[in-house]
Amino acid sequence: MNDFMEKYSDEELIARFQQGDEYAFEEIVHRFKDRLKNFVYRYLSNEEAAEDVVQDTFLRVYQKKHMYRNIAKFSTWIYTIAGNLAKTELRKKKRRKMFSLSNLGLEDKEYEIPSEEFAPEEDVEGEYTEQEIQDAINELSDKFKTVIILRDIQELSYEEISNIIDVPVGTVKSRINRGRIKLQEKLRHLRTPKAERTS
Amino acid sequence: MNCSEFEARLSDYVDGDISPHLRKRFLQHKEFCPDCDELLEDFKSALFAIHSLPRKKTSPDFNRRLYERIDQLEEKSIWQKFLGIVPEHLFPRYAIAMAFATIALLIGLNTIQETGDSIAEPDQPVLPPPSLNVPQQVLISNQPGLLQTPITMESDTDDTNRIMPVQEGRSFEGQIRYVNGQ
Repeated sequence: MNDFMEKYSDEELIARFQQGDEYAFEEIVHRFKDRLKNFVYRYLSNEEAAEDVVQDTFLRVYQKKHMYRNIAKFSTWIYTIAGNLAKTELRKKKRRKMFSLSNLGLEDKEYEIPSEEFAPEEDVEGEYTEQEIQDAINELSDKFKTVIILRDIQELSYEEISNIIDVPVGTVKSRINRGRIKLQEKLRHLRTPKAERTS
Repeated sequence: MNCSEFEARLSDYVDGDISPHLRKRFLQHKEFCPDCDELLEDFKSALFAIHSLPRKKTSPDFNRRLYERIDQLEEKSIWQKFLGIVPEHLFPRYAIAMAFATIALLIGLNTIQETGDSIAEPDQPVLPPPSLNVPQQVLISNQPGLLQTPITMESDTDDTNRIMPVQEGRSFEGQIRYVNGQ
């Protein structure tokens, strides 16, 4: 990686790339690949599909670099692309799941419901396993899931989220609050009683 | 502050995005409402859980695969530029298919016409039924109207599958004439 690229802002990098500087693109990939992978993975909960979506996101950036206008933050633009591609992938995944369920015999349904793909269980500090938390996120409806991941996992500002999902900041705040409440409802039953925790 | 107001302010309180006045009212309600107190505990616990999720990273060969795909795109793009002398919309897939179909049709028609010409030869003889036990004289000529060495064949019922021997210098392209009773 070219160290001299580190001094540039994201917006300066895309401007340089628009003028043909390929090193600027490499720096963009370096800066965003893990962030986007984390975002898309939490959305799809599938390692391979998430990586493909991130690759497709960078390909879009590469091909459509001139579509970016310096009126929004570059991160907003790239997250919007990744989010849209992830949504499309999730729809495909749901269709595939429905198709595979509809093709099962009645006697098979009890045993062969396709499970979500997960990496081996990783320890999460606290009361829940990673899978339990991911399950709770997966159960959220799309509009809550998106804002929760962008805010609480990607740690983006309300304004950025508002630009990415194209809804007013007030609506974003309200959705985040409601999404968190839904999430705590889903996780609450997994919590050990207070008495056990304190003993 | 009532319970629904308390619920609506949960994120503001946790994020520290709340005025001192509202914060005071929020905490007062929490003090006197055990349900909301527990709700706040669960809420903070859920947030802590999400924040503690491990960060996912891309695989080690991510860059290699990405740049391979970009190279493929570039190669395609070079071909598109090369073919771009004629705009793409001027030779869509259907037009190419139609062109091939037309060429195939023309070749087919030409072949049929040639075959038809040879079948519709005016001097084409009609073979007598094999049951007629009469000698036949076969005349072969390379040029129309010019008779060459006559070949006499005895016709009988067993000869229907006999192959006529081809003599040197004679061709099947010549006219074959059967003369009955000679």
